[in-house]
Amino acid sequence: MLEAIALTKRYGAVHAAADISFRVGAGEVVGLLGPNGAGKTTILRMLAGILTPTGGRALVDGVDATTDPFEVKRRLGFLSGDTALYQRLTPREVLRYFGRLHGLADDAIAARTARLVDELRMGDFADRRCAALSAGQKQKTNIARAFLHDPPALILDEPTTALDIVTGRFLLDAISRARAAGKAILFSTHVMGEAEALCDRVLLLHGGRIVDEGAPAELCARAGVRTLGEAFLRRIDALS
Amino acid sequence: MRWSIVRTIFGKELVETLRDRRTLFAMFALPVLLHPLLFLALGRVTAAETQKRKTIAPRVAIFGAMPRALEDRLTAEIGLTVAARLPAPPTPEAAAAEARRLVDAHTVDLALLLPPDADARLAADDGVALTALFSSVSDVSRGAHARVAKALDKISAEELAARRARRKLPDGFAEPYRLVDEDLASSRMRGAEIAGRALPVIVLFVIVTCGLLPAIDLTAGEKERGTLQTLLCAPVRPLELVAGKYLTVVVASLIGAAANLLAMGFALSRQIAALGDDLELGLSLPTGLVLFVAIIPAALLLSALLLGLGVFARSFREAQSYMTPLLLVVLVPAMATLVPGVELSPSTALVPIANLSLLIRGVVAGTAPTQLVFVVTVANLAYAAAALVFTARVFETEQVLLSGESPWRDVFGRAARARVTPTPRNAILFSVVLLVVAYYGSMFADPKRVGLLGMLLVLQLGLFLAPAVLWALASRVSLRETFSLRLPSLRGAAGILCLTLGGWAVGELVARALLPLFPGARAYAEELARLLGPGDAKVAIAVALLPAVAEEACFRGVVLSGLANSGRRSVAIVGSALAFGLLHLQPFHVLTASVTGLLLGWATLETGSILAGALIHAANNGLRMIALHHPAVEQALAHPATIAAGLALTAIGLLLVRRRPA
Repeated sequence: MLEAIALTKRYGAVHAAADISFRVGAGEVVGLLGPNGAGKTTILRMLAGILTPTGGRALVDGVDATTDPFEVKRRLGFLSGDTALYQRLTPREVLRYFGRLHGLADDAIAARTARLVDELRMGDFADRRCAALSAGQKQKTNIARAFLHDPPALILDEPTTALDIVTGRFLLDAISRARAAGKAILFSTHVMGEAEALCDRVLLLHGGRIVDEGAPAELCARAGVRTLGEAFLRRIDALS
Repeated sequence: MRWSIVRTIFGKELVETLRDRRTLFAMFALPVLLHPLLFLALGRVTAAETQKRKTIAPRVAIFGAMPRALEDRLTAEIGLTVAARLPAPPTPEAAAAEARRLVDAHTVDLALLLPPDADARLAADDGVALTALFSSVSDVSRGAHARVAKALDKISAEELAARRARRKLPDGFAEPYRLVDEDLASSRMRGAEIAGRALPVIVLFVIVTCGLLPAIDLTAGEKERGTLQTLLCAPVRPLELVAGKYLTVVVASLIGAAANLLAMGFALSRQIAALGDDLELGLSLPTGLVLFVAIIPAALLLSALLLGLGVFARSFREAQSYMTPLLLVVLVPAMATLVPGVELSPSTALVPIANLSLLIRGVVAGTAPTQLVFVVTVANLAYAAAALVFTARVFETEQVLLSGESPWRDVFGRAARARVTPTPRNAILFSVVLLVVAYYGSMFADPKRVGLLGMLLVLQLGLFLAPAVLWALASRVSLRETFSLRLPSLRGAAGILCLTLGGWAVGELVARALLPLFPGARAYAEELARLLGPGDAKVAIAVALLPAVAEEACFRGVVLSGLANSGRRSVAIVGSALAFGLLHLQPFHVLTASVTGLLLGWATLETGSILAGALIHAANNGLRMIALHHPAVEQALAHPATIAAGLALTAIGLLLVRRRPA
């Protein structure tokens, strides 16, 4: 569903991502773990068709993100922790706008918006301008935006950044429901606890390369430690 | 490009723009409140000050002895107050120094220096030269000088009349020749002339300032607020995004400009009325509407420029720093209306910005020729399209969108990979460049200098074929694919033959239908016939063959193959036909050539061979040339039966060239 094949991005002599290959199947959550500057966002942007790779291929639902970014965007929901909203629109207007950009009919947008507003408990603020919303309310609006067109694949770039524990939990529950609905989910985070709780597999990134991968329990067992955080630190120490 | 998406983006941007208090303030509140307040306040103060100056009695210093009768008359006339009576200084320099001291100390407003024999001269009916010593940089001193001068003129005229009466001389004795001026321009025309010089600069300035905030807000502002990444994740093509935002900026500039013009017009007409001069601003609803229509091309171009620079900037602040040079770039050519002798003419009609300024002036003064209005509008649409193409390219540049460090190379660098045929943007840019090159290039190809054949060779080979080939080479595209250098299928060839024999009838039919709607068209056609009529067989062959090769290389080559990459055949055919038509720059010919262009584009695209366009074009031009020299052929072509036969052949040809689904 989501696939990277020898994906590479260079800025001059710097490799932001080097020879990255992995696959995320339907109903699977794969975590992309790494410290700041490891190349997580670059990889996700290449998969989303926002950045052009220097080499390799990024496929979403079999469509190449370089040659057909337009089709890739139709099949993808993208959410990041720093995604901003239009301050002078209300969440309901934001959803209508993105629904139309995705080519949905107005009545379909209205029905899906009503369902998402209900599921994500947005009723209290759905008609208030985004400028007046809290960080949690904004992120709920963003989740609704990413889920609105019912994409088969989701890319979530550190989506819990700046969220309180209640909203963060809420988001993780939404991701679990999406997995149950058969969506392929690529999830980047540097919060090891989240990855451990949610991901079927994780990819450890360092210096733009994948340095290890496997199920959280496998990685812990290989490193001889109890938590994913410790396993990650041990792997980084070994590389240093 | 999907118009439903453009409409969605436009609608959302418009809602956001109208919800932004800063923009609303700049668009409406500022002009509606500030202009009347400023102009009316300024007008009141100026009028009050002018009135005051007219009544204040000038305070003077008199060097020497002023004749009593003159002093009494000046006192009676303007209330002259003698503040100092001083002996005449020994030299003029000493008089000037003393007068300057008195004026600088505000003791007097001016000094009058009289000759020692003033009384004797007057007694002998001679003239007396008074020297007025005043400061031209002081309002008070200048005003006093003007009042004394005016009064002295009046007194002098009365004295002259008295002397003539005493000596029984005729009225014209002291004035053998007199020029009596009568201005043929009405007060409204004079008002329009003054407004026409100043208004364009103001209008262009207003459009830039009204479009400025929305343009930055929708581009650099969106980057800064972090919403651009959200938008880039949606399935929207760069050109759709740019078009939606562009329409918002155009609407904002136009609404802002209309509000400003209304407020300014109201305030100016009140001020002019208050001054009571023999001028009329001549602003009425029809004039206002015509002016509003005239500023649409300006809004189209300036909005595109503003959006392009806004997209390029990484932040709101950076965008503002780009806008100051842009304002200068706009205002300097806009001042063309202030340069004596510069008018809207064929040579200025394509000069960016200056042509807009001259167009607005021409429209206000009612002197703009219709043909040039059309040329300026086409040119500005073309420039706006080029600016939008640039903006769309920027929207695809990740270094710019993600605020990278080396955006210039990404935007202006050549494509890294060679392509088979040009991109749609490349094709649009080529059409704009070709328009300018062909327009100005044709001015240098004077048939009187180089002969008719020479002119055709220079125009077609130098200004069409060479640019097309060079453009394709520079774009690193395949010449074979770009220029469709291949033979058609047998069925296609049969279709081309039918269209070659009958295609002219389409142009003929359209021309007949449109001729009554365009009064200038017949004169234009006669002018063309006069130009080509004297040509020999060589000229006739050149007219038939050269455009069939050179113009086809441009429009059914670079433009058609480039626009075909948009993925929509209709865009390619209509776009290339429009580009071909607009190059004719005369409304009637634009329409007839565009219709012929549709036929040429359809045939070339369907058969995949440039031969289709070239042969139909050659036959069309060749027949016209034959008809020009042989009235019998002309009559035959104009006969309804011949036209019907031509149309029938065209219909068969269209069916034959139509590509069958694979």
